[in-house]
Amino acid sequence: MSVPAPIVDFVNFLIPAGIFAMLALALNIQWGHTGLFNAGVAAFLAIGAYMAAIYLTPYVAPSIVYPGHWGYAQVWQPWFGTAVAFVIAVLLSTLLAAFVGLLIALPILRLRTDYFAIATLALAEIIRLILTNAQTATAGTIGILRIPGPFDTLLPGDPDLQAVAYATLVIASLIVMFWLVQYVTRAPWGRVLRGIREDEEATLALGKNVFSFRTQAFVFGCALMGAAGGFLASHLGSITPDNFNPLATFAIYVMVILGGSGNNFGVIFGAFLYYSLDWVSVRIDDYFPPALAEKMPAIRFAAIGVILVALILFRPEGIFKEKKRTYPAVTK
Amino acid sequence: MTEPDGHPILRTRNITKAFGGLQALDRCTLEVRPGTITGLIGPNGAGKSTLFNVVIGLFAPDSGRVYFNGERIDGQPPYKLVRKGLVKTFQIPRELRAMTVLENLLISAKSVPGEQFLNLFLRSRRVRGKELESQRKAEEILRIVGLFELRDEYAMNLSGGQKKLLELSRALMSDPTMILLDEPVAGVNPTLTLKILEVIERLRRQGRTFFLIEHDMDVVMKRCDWVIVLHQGRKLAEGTPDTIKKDQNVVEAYLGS
Amino acid sequence: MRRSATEEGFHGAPKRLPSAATPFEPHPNKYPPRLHLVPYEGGGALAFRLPLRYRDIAIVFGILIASIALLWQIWGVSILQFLINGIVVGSIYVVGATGLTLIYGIRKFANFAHGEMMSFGTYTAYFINGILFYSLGWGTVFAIVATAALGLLMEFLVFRRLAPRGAVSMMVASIGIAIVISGFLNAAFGTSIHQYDVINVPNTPILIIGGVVVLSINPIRGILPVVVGVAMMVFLHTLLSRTTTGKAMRATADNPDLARASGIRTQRIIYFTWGLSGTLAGVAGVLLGLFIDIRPGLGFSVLLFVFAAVIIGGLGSPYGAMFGGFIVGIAQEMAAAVLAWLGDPEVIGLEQPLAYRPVAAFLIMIIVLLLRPGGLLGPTPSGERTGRRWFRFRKPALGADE
Repeated sequence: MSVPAPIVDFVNFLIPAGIFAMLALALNIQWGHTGLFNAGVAAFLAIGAYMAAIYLTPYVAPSIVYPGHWGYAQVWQPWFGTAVAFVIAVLLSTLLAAFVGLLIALPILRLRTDYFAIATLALAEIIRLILTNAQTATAGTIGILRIPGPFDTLLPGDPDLQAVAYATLVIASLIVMFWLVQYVTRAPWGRVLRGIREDEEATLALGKNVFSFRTQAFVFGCALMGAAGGFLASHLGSITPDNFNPLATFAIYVMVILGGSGNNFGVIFGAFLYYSLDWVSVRIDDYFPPALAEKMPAIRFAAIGVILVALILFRPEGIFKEKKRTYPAVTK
Repeated sequence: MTEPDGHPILRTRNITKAFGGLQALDRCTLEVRPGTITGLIGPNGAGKSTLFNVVIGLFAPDSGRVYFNGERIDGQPPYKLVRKGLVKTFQIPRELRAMTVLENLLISAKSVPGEQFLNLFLRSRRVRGKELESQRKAEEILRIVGLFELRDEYAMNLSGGQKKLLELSRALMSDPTMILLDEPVAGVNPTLTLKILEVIERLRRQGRTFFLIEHDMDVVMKRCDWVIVLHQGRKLAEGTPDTIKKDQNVVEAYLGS
Repeated sequence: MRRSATEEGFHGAPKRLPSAATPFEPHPNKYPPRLHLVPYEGGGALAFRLPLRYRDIAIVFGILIASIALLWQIWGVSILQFLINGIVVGSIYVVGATGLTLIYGIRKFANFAHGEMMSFGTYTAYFINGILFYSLGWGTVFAIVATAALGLLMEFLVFRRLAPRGAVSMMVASIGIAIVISGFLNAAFGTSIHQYDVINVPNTPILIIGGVVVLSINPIRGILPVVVGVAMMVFLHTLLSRTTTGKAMRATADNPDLARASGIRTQRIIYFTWGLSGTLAGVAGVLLGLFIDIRPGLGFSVLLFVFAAVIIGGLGSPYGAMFGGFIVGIAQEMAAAVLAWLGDPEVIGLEQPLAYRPVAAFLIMIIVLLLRPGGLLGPTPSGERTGRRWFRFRKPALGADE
């Protein structure tokens, strides 16, 4: 079955945008609702991505041309196809990212915001170092290649249709995540997180175990980031540590702040908006003279920074402000 | 809920607390009897707020013990104490600014099943039930203090006096046995002051204990059953308001500071 | 006037400004004057006081000596080469870290753009030296001027307005600024690797045993950074302790309202501090360029080390930053010694051992954060040692007024 080109283009826009939206949702829980400045988003994304990649690809022994990497595919390939394997991979990614998040959280979650940011930045850098240098595990800077997607066995030989199906899966998962996060943040649990964000000491004095809640929020966010990583691995098909540099982290922050930190719908909107701008800016590269076009990635990079500073200065609450939560009266 | 008369509901023994070179509390020993409105007064720097912070668990004392209802509580974090029925308000209101008045109260409820992540999925009916219950209670409290019309206002938009009322309301949400009030009517206009004091009196009749720091001597003399005077980190004197008014040491301490 | 829900605070910003390194003001008598008097009550983050934590500093030196002794078993006298390298690298971190900590003391936020400011200095010097072919001396002068100007511009455009909103807003803005500078440098100079146009001088031997050079140091890439680093330290010390401006800086950092009430023009002092921070960043940047390849991403790669140095020494304390800088440098190089040994297949066969050098610095930083959040040269907030672990928010203590 052939898929018309515009739909394929749209779908190829939708998938990364959807994955970014997942990350924005996850960060919204940590930063927007709880006030935790996790500067290591990219690291958790990487953990999820590498976990999925390792599960979905077969083991490759080190050789002269290629450092080799761990792989688990040879274990499950006789039993089921990539669809089931993908589901398991995403689950594993979620769990591993949550676990690492918990390990990291325990020593550093008592720190004040700026210290916490620096600590997460440092830990993210350590994770990136490990991923780059444990070469027999992760194939170092060359990375893991030929990562299959869920529909490879179901819709063989038709990459366009696979893309459409994958986009549907991503968006469906995003909707599920959105529902989950909405439910959880509207509940008393989410209320405590916001209390912690507003005034940690007051919330403590009101009888809440602030450390426990912060840990829960952090781990939950990391879990979602890991899941997004799983989706990313299959989408990209090959991953290297370069995909997960700090710029990725700060791009997500721009999405969250732009869309409206604290507002779950807002951050998804922010992710799509940001990605659209990015997508457009890549396309207009062609209209510039080659000398300038070469610099476009750097200029785009700088533009992200300008947007971030402008947002902080002039509209820190973002496009969609956090909704005031009202309750219809129950007494007369 | 209350101890039989004669046993103090709150007891501190030789509490010592220093900040750097500043000795805030120096072997402070005192008792509060249940069902009373006990005042804690003393010149500036006497250690009153510090004592409250130590009792409620925001600071750990350098040495000494605190007993609540006979149980030793020093060093325990506030969230455990709130569960046991001990709460504190802040001198400068710490309202949760970007949350509504009603939310400020809802968050102050204790033993909320909806705050446990797993309960949200496994016990959603119980979660909803408790939410309604908390909301009912919150609205009741808001009606009593007169903040009901403002329940959907962001807490930061309240006036100073209203924020004080909010502090008190939040303390009440957890159904406490004993409330530590840090200057509950400081800077509040006379009408609101009267309302706050009425609420306190009403709750005291329900059997709750109030331990309050106040600088307004009028309030202390008229409303407190018992007064403890703190000076330089330890108890200087205690007695009924009349006794304290006449105590030479107390007068000197205030004049000298 | 309509008030929005987040009028006064960027979403998630703490609504109360944290005080710098010290959660509280230590009583002056606790720190008896030794070499210099604390000029006003309270001491403060930038006050020059001899650190009270003799015990901790002794521990640090003890660990250092012990590590050297241990590694001597593996490397012999060559271990001292690692130490020398560490001091060299440390000097660069010292210059960078003092610039960063000054901003922390005066504006109370972590300036994530500091790494890029250093990078800006590196590239400016490269522009003068590698593209226009003037000497590196001129390159340094221009780097200092340009980076100082950059700091002033940042304050003028951004931080002056964000100050009332709290440290978190300023921190996020500084990240944005870092991205802007990085992008700009990338666009202006391209992604290829550059180097200064500086003559390559051979290493000066320090210790020769049996005809083999065992310890050596390079005059330009070794001695020069140390000399410059020490010079900057002396300069900063003199400035802070003996000049009126320096005292005004300390006063403003400690208590801006009181400083203003005493007649100090705090906004001017703040600008001055930015200029000073920029100067130090510029110098550090030039030294950095001598040491490693000039490429994009330079700023970010060095940022974490500078942060580590500042945190280890205590946020807001310039002397702490000096101490911390050397610790980070030495730790990094000693870690190289350990890692190289671990890379030996007979030991663990760790792959790419030297790439993990940063891990040592970060681990030390995290350990310090956990055990001594005020840094090694900051006071311990009381209430942390006694009492249990549950409450250790590194924030201003409550109720220290009564």
